[in-house]
Amino acid sequence: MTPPRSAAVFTVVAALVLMMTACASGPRGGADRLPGQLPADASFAAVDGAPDAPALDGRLVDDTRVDLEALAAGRPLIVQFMASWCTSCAEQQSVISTIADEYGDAIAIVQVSGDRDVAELTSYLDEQQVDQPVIVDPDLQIWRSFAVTEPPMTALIDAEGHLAKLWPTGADADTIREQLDAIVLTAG
Amino acid sequence: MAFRPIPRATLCAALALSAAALAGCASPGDAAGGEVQLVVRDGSLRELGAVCSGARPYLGFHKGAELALIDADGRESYHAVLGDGEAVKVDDIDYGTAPRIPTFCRFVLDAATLESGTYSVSIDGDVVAEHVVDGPATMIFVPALASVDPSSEGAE
Repeated sequence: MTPPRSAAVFTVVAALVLMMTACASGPRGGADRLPGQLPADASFAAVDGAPDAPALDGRLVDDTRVDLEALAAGRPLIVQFMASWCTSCAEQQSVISTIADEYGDAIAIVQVSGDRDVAELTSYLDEQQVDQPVIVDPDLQIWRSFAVTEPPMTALIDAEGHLAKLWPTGADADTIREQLDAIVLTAG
Repeated sequence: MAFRPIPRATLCAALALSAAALAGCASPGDAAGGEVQLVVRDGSLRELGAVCSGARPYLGFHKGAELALIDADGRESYHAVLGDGEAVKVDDIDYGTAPRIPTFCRFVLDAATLESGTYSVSIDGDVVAEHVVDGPATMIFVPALASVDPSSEGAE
């Protein structure tokens, strides 16, 4: 192999290694899925009369400790309660992904899993290509504080930390959009 | 073709055989094969026919959970892995146009051949109810709501 050709091969291999390293930055559901920078000109409305949301203190799949402030980072937060064994949750994931794509960094989304088996959960997250941070709640403490009777359930918390809406069994994209559009004034 | 009356002795024998067969189906200790259903009486509000799992406090009843029936001697007589449940009606009340009404979550499971008797119902290793088998098809209710004594049930 001539020197120029070996240099080219080395460059390609190095680039591939770099790409693979970048892709494997952390497990699905971990801290690297927390919301990014809040858009500078994003603005939000509070929901009048809504009660304060219950606490969202917990640990993500990668054991990162989180709370409502870290998860929402100053913007409306969608909380999706799910479990790997829940067929309807898998069906709801496409709705969550659609909303995430449409609203970008103007909103935050967190999933709260009731799974006891983390291996089954991570397998589910890979299968469903879940791109949101995921709290592991095996004792269902957060589930109970939000009165989840069975998954899926979707909750919407406004940027002020008020519980704006609960949708037992989840909601379709239009229903979630309607609520979000009332509180996301400018997405930035 | 001329009608020929069935001899009384033949008729009696046929009736006796039929009665014996019917009685035999429900006699204690006999094996009975048939469909198994698990009904979780959680009363959760759902759309009729929706895919479901047990609602709180029955969250353990879901797809992938393992159901077992344990006989009086502690032997596992039946084992099944739950699939998706289906929301079924609780009552005959007309709820009008309400999209979600009180339902139970019913799981249809593999057929079983079970001897008549009382079984412990276990889900993922936890005993959650007792179940009495007294016929070919068996419908397991959780919770049982009341203990059933097969010797007194239906005696009146």
